Amino acid sequence: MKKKLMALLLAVSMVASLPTAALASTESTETEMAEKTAEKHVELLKIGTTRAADAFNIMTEEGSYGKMNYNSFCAAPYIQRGQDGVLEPFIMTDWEIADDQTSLVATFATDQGITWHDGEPFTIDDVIFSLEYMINVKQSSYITGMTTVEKIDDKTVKINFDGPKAFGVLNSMAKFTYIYPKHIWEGIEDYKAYTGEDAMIGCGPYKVTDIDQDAQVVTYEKVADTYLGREIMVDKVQVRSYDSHDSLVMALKNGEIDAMYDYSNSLDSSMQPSITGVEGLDAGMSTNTGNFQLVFGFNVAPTNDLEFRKAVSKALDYELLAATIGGADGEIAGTGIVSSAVQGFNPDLPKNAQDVEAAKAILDEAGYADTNGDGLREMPDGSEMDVLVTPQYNSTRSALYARIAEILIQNLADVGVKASLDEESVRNSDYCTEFRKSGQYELYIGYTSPGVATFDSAFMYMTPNPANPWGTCNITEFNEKYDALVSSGSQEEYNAILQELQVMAADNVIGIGLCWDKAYFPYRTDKIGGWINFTGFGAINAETWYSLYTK
Amino acid sequence: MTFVTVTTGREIEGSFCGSFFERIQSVMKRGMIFQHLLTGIFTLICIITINFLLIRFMPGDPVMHIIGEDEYLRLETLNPKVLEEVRAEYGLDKPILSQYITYLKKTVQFDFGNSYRTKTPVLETVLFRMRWTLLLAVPSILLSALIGGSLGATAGYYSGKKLDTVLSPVLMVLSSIPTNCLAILCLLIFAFRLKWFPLGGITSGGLSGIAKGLDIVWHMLLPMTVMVLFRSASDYMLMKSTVEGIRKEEYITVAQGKGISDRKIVFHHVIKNALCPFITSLCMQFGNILAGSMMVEIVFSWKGMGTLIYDSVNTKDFPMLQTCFLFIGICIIVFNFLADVLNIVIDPRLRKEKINE
Amino acid sequence: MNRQVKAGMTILAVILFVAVFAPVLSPHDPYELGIPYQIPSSEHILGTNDVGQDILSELFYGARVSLTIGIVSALVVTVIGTTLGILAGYYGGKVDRIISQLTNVAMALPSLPLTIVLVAFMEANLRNLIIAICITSWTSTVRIVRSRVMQIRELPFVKLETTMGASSVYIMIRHILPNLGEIVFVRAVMEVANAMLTEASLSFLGLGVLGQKSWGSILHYAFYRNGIINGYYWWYLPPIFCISFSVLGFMLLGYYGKKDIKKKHKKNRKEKISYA
Repeated sequence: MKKKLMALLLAVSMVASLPTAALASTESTETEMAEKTAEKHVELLKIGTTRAADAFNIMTEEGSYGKMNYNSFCAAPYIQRGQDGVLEPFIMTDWEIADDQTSLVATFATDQGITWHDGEPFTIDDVIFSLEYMINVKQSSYITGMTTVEKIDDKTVKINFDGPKAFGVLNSMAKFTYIYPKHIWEGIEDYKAYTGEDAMIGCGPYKVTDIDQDAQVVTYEKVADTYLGREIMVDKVQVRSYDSHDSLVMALKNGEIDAMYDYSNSLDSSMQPSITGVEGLDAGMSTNTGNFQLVFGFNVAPTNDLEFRKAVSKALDYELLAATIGGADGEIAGTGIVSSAVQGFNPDLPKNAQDVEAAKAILDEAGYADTNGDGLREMPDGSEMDVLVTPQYNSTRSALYARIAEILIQNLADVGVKASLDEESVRNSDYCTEFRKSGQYELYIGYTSPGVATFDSAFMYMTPNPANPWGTCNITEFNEKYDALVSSGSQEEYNAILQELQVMAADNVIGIGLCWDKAYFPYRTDKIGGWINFTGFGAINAETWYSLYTK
Repeated sequence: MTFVTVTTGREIEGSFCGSFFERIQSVMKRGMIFQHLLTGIFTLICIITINFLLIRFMPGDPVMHIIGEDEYLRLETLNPKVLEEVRAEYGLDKPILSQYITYLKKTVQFDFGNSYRTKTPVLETVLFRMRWTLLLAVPSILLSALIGGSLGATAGYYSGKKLDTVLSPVLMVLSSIPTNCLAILCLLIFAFRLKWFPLGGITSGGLSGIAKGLDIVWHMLLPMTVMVLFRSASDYMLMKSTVEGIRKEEYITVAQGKGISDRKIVFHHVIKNALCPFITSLCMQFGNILAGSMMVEIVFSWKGMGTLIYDSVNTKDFPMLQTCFLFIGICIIVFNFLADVLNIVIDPRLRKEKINE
Repeated sequence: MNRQVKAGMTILAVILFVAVFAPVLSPHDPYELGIPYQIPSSEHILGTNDVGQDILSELFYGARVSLTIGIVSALVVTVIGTTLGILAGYYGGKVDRIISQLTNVAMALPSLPLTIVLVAFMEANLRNLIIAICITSWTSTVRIVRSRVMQIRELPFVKLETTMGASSVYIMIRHILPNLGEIVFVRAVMEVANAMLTEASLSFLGLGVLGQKSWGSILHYAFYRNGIINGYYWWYLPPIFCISFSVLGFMLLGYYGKKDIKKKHKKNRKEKISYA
């Protein structure tokens, strides 16, 4: 048994040294670029995902097809995100934001021989059509604030906004918004109900060549040898849909697929032991920009009391939380909540730490005493205290949420605070949503997805704001600072404000980061090389098509 | 008081039937079948109504499920008018009674609407998935009936002998393991560790013709084996206990009448009598065919009706659920009817009792 | 009593013993948190789960909730099924038609899918779980009881009592109910087994009880916290074994107990008939 433990520790330490190795390999791929032409193409790349192969519509983000498009795949995005979340040009090759942030001038790759997959040429009219379609028909939340589009010439358009939102909208557009073919979609109002076969026509580097519903496999082939001037290294891609991460991992271990792709849905850390130390398999670990957090309800007692919140922050067993949420690689979160992998992370804030005695002292001081002698504390006014712990609904991770709640309840009981599980929330998404909207929650366990973490941050769930009007935080200063964050005009400004927000969140214990975990998107390394593991997104990304090679 | 009148009424009816039995036997049979048919139709109407109510009274706003939660929340704050438009489009703003009538009309016309999630016609998906469930379930039911039935008949006939003492406990232990657990253990051992079978799914993809057919069979083997194991066990138990019961009685009567020598006739007689409850059970199994393999389908990622229902529950795809439930209901009703008819037509005991009167 | 019934009784006695004395038998408090994912050791004989709780203690306490789910569901199903069955079989006519129709409708509903839908949408607690398990499973009891009551009703002594003017309620309770003992008992025992199997299925689908320790919920966490794919067999095999073991106990009792009672029952019936 000791041997097993040693092996486990060894595996853990090996995994811990991986990120540096991954970084090193990225740098070396840059230098390999030149040699690559000599290298062999990847004839067939087999990707496993959990989204079903049942929707093929460029307008929606449904199904395996829809999610694959986040990788600049079949549909061509305006702009994409690079390894560390930085904006990169794609079909929108260049842009210039006006000083007042109310408009921008953008150039498009209409002169590079790009065609739609049905052979029609891609023109500036498609660009204008797509943007206007998003504004008027889709009313897409990605471009809220965009008002009009003016054609300047056959390559350039001017985009106007109803306020200083150019940078913000660009950020939220990146990788999720695409160019639509005007000749197909013109005149179609109900785009979601349109199921014509041409609904999947895009102008990205790959096109759908076969859909096998029985096998749940979609086959894509590259449209040309190069795209936007870069050589496409992967000739053919097959995306196979699995029902669960379990079957996906088994398939990966048995060599049925080469890599895993599941947008914003990395393998649960509890699966880490079965993907580490496997020959020919890389666990694909990276720092998760997202994180689990505890949000306090400011509308109800006792969570509206700073002293109570401080006591909670001292009462929790962060080591166990880190192990339960993040497994062997889980890291105790900082008091600023925001993950260390996020741009704008504040490194000056300390880590969370458990101190049961301090928690008890704070509660005693603040008047939460056990007046009736039942071993549990009452509210300062003497009424009974029973804090409701509401885990967010999540169809695939309900077990983890329930476990986090279980730990919180036990930890609070250890400092004399009675807490109960809101079991319905674990099971019922409607209830969970309604309850969150009511703003009556006390302790709400939620998750900031990597996408939100990149440009909205975990604080989106705490303050009232257009994206989440049900935030309950009533500290005006903090809320105003958050508004400033969302409308910041550049990455530097954004980073500076986010750092300040973290300090304010720590001082007022607006929420608690429960763990900084890792993301795992494993891939096989025995036959294919050149993987670039994007932080929090995995090895299947916008770069994959150009960087892979056969070993 | 009422009770007494009822009894007398029955007695009259009974004697009436008895005296005219032979002449009106066929008429009565037809009448009974017709009555069962009426019951079936009425049940179907009830099922359709329950389906409607079940879905309508689910918690939460159906519009949220139609357009997706994120979109719903966004529109609720930014543009609530769109939500009302969607509500009107799906007829959700009308009173419940008129919604019900619309639903009935559409059901009669076989218009089940579009899936909330994929927006494709529900009927298409359900029929597509049904095919795969039938492919998995029909052979497994027939195979189990053959294996379980014949083993059960033998074990029951030679009750207490070797086959019975060995097989009965083994099959009983087997049927006490939860289906999903056994399925998972089989998957872990035979597909993941030993790699004898694929990990799940229906086919590997990229194949056609005979190669694809063989590939599907290969994918079917493990889930089908699990199903055959379970179904054979219950078929065995049923057949065994019926044969045991009949044999004890028949054996005595026949032995008294003819002497024990003619074993063949006894066996023949016993089996003939035991077939009736067995066929009823088979009809039940066929009735439940669409939802019966749910757990196995889920474990082996078999894209049939079971997984469809499960996914639809998770994504709250109500039109899909409704249609699945409707088809399952129809299937059960049809086979129940069939079982009733078969019983009326072939049950020797039913006839015997009447004649004895 | 035959061998199989004895075996069944022994199994159930063991489980009942564990359930009753769980606090004494358990080496740890099953809710106490500790170091997660420990492999079996002398301290934790079956290791610890994903939040460091002792799995053996969880199993001991789990017997309580699992048995409760099984037995309460079976009781509910049996009471409903027997009552409806007696009413339908005894009164016949309109009452029979209404109840039979109700049974037909319930039988045409897919039991497991319906249970899944109900559990997914009802408020999550033990009571609702039991309701969802019961909602379609009463039908077979009704059918069997009904046809049996129809036979009993025609027995000479019952007929005699009716003509003598005994009240229906008296006859149903005094004569019909005791004669149903065998069937009702067998159905009830089988229903316990069914309910326990259903709980296992629901837990696998993530729809079991979460707040309480039941074998189903231990399995649920073993499934969903990846105990299976990681090969932590000490986590997922014991609950499977416990469920199967007790289901087997109930099945043995139900299947072989039937014959046992039948023998006794035949004697009883004869006595009664001679009395009548």
